[in-house]
Amino acid sequence: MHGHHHHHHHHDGDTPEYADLSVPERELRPLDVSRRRFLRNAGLLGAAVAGGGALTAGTASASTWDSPGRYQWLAGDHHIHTQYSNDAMYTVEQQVSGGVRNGLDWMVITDHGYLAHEKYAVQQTYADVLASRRRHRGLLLWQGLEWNTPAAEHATVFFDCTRDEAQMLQTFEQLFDGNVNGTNPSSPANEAIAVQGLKWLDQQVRSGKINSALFLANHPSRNGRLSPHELRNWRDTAPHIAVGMEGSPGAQADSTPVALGGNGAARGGYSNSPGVDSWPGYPLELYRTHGGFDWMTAKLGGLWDSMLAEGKGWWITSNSDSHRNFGDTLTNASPDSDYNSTGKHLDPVDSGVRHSWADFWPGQYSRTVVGATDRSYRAVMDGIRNGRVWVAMGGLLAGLEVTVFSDEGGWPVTLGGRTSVRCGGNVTVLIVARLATRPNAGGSIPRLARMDLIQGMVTGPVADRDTFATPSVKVAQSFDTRRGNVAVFQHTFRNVRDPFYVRLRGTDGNVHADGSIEPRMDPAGGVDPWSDLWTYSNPIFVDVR
Amino acid sequence: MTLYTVDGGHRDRHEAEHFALDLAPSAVLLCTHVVREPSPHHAVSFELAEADFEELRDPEGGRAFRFPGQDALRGALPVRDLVASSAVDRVVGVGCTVTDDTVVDTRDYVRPVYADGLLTLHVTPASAGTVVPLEVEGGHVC
Repeated sequence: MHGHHHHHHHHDGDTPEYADLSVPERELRPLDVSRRRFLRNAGLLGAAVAGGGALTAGTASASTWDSPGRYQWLAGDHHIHTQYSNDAMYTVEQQVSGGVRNGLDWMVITDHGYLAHEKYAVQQTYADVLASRRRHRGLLLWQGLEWNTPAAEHATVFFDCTRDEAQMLQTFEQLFDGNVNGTNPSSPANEAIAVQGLKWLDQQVRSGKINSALFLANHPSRNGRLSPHELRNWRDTAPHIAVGMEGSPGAQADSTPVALGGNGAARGGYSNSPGVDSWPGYPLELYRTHGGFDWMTAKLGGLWDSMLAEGKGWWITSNSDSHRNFGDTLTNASPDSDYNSTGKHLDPVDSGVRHSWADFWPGQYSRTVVGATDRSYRAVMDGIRNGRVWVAMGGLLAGLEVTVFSDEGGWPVTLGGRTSVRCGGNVTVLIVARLATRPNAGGSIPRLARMDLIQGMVTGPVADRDTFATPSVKVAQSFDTRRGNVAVFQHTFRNVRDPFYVRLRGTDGNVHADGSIEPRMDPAGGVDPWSDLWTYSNPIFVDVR
Repeated sequence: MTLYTVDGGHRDRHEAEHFALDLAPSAVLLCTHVVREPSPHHAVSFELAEADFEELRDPEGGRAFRFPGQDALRGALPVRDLVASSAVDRVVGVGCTVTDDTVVDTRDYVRPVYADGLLTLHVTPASAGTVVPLEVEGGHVC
């Protein structure tokens, strides 16, 4: 599917890290980032950059300027099911055209790991994916997998692969899927198998069998079974592959009130309570969404912040998890027994009745917007790998351009980036929010009421890898939005002495926790998903020299 | 009355409940307990006058799927009445605070757990100012 070949250069001890493109830019010291960029500009790393592949950061073009304007911001969804999932129904083309209709630039098909899927579905799906790629020129469409990560939750896994991509996927599923191998229960032994799976992916990248791979944990809090140490273990095993998690789960239509034709159930389908595999250390608040977002992301100073406080990247996304879409008249044609013997449900049939299904179409409600150097498979994956990502519900933002720079003329950076400042210097955050001007799929033009600039201190590695809180996180400034199509906000951190990160959170301002500007725990019994919209950005790190 | 426990190694909670009811059909208090080692599963416990099973010293974490007064917990009722009419010792809000007057919409499904030695019903906010039990019948799992 992509015409490039890669030769990977491994760090062999003679090459300094900044010249070794197998070391991601985000793992370099700031000074070494500058050195690498200098070499690159001088043409000294040019040949290597062209073959940089997935072990490097994504900035392959010869520029020193990392401002948001350098990138195309491409909207997508990495969590979509089809008739090749045991519990879903759409054809690949129905999901793909639904996503295109809703303005998506890229999509990843992620059917569930399952015995019949591994045996029968992978190759059939691939044929359909190839057909949809031909039909939608310019769309980037991957076939990935919703991996039953042993001992843990579901996760999106997908590859950038010149050839044999379906075969690689099938092999991975056969070797490591928790459903296929009976390794779903939470246990140290099964946790080790998940880590092995990531190492296997890493080996395939290093040996050039695949150009790159990404892993993102899906609906991380839904069953409370994804412990903090598992997230940290994955990140540290394969930091260029295991890069993040869903900030908000799919199934956002599940809470649509009965009066509006919905299920009146839990937002995101988050209606669970501690179960047999749940990690016992979590507070019960984790089992519900907060403003539609997963507790790990929504809780200020919570698990996500505690990982960022280590100074390492861990990124969030937002997706549809589409199985059956709210208001659709299509319904399942075949029973599960057919799926078990063929790996495929028959094409859905039109029942003539609008169903209160729990999901939205890809791109209809949740979007993951990625800064990519160009419209290519590799560039989108590099953008995700580097955290150059913001997410929004219900079209709350049309665009978000964030630039962070220090006052000594250093290069600016954008989302997912890392800049540095001399001790005692100043750091400025410039935010350009492009506001919605068109109605969303819910039929109204959403209005961004407020943007919060969140600051967290980087305190280094945690002693306890099950840490899920960090104290030094606060809203540094809240900006109210006035009239107009563009809102520009600026904040300067003065006399900076300690490393930190910033991230953004915005809201339509409709709903908050009592007496607070924090998101509300979504109540049972119905929430109109269009009435409580949030947007989050990934962080930017600031080091102190 | 004494609390007894049996570990049948059940991975599935419904199967564990059937197992307990088969062992102690006359018991009015029956619980499931998550056991993490060697692989996560459920043990059960039940209260009987006298039996030939291992005694359970501490019910902490046990989830009562049968308990005295359970049948009275139907529809919506204030915390005060819920506690007065059943073995539930207290109602604790998750993401909300509750008072004696807070109305619990039981949805005819109440499964309290032993926390801090008290049979505790955790509740979450619901629309219209009521609260509902945290454990929902037939939760969404995939």
